Amino acid sequence: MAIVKDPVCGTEVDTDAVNATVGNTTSGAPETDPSKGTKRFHEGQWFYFHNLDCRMKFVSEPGRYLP
Amino acid sequence: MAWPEQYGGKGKGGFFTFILSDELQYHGLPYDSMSITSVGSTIMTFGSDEQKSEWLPKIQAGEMTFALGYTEPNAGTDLASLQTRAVRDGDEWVINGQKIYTSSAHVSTHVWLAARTDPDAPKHRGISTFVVDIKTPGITVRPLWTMGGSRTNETFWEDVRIPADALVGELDRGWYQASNALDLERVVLGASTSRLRRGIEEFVDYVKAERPDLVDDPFVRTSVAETKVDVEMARALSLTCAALVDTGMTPTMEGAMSKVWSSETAEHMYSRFMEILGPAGLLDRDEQEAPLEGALERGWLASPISRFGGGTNDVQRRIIATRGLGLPRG
Repeated sequence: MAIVKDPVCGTEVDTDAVNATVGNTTSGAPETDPSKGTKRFHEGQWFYFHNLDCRMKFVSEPGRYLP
Repeated sequence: MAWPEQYGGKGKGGFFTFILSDELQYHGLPYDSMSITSVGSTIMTFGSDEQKSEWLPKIQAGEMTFALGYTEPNAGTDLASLQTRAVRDGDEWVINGQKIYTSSAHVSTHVWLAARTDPDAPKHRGISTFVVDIKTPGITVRPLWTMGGSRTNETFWEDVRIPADALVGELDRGWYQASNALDLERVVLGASTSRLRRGIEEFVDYVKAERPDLVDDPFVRTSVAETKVDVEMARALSLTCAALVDTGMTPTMEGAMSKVWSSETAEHMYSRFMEILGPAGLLDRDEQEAPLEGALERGWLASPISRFGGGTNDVQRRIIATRGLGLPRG
């Protein structure tokens, strides 16, 4: 289990849970559980968020939340 | 049906396709217009001979179905700001990034993907389009549920390796391919009028059978008549698009007009019908007394999505003003 902090609100996010396959689409692509959080590819790396609201804030103003 | 026989079609033309799609929709039967009319027709225009021979018969047969991989969290209306990257590595492309509102990714075999291939170019350049098998390792699908009850998705792309020949058309010129596909997507979206036509018929039948107190009301008669006019206008705009497609043109302004009119007509129609029925029109679909088994509530909640799908109606009005009427870009 890899725990990281949501860069917007500081909530801990389990990256393994966000990426875990919980099912498959009808054509066989892996599906994830939306309740576990989400992520964002930004300038070459993935950032993890506990929900879409935090990610939306990050997308609109990434410089504010990056170290 | 409209496609040439060499690609598995019948060479019937745009009108035939419209009529077929219209009738199937009227009866609630599936027809994958997005894969055939939007993506397939764009591949027919921009794809290589090998791609056309390989993919078009499969699209025609329903063996290849597409989700559209355009929108990203920061690139919707301003689609050219998309950041998903495709980097060439030997005989492959490596994709990293994410898409949102990848509707039907959960039921499609492929994604029609727009990705940035030259990050240093001006934003409308440096974009390329790809056909990607959705089972390719590194793609994950995350469901998103909309207020109308329908499902859309986010898709994540992490070191997704696809063959070099998945690129469609010229490298870094994908904006033009995507624009062509979007023009055709709006034709498809605008052509969804048979469900509205059926909606009017079912509403009138319901009022006659269940609410005879309303049939002589001038407000009711006027509202239903105005809705009928609006829906037939939408159908006429779709037929104009079909006529242009029939002559080999891409109906940019006409597709935008059709999409704007039909999506806003849908909202007006459900709103008017709910108003006519008063408090009963507001009942939740799960309520036993809900008229038409909740069809009005479902339709009303689902209709705003059409104003956004395929480019917002504000953008469509801008397209009509600039590309259609030649006004300068503001």
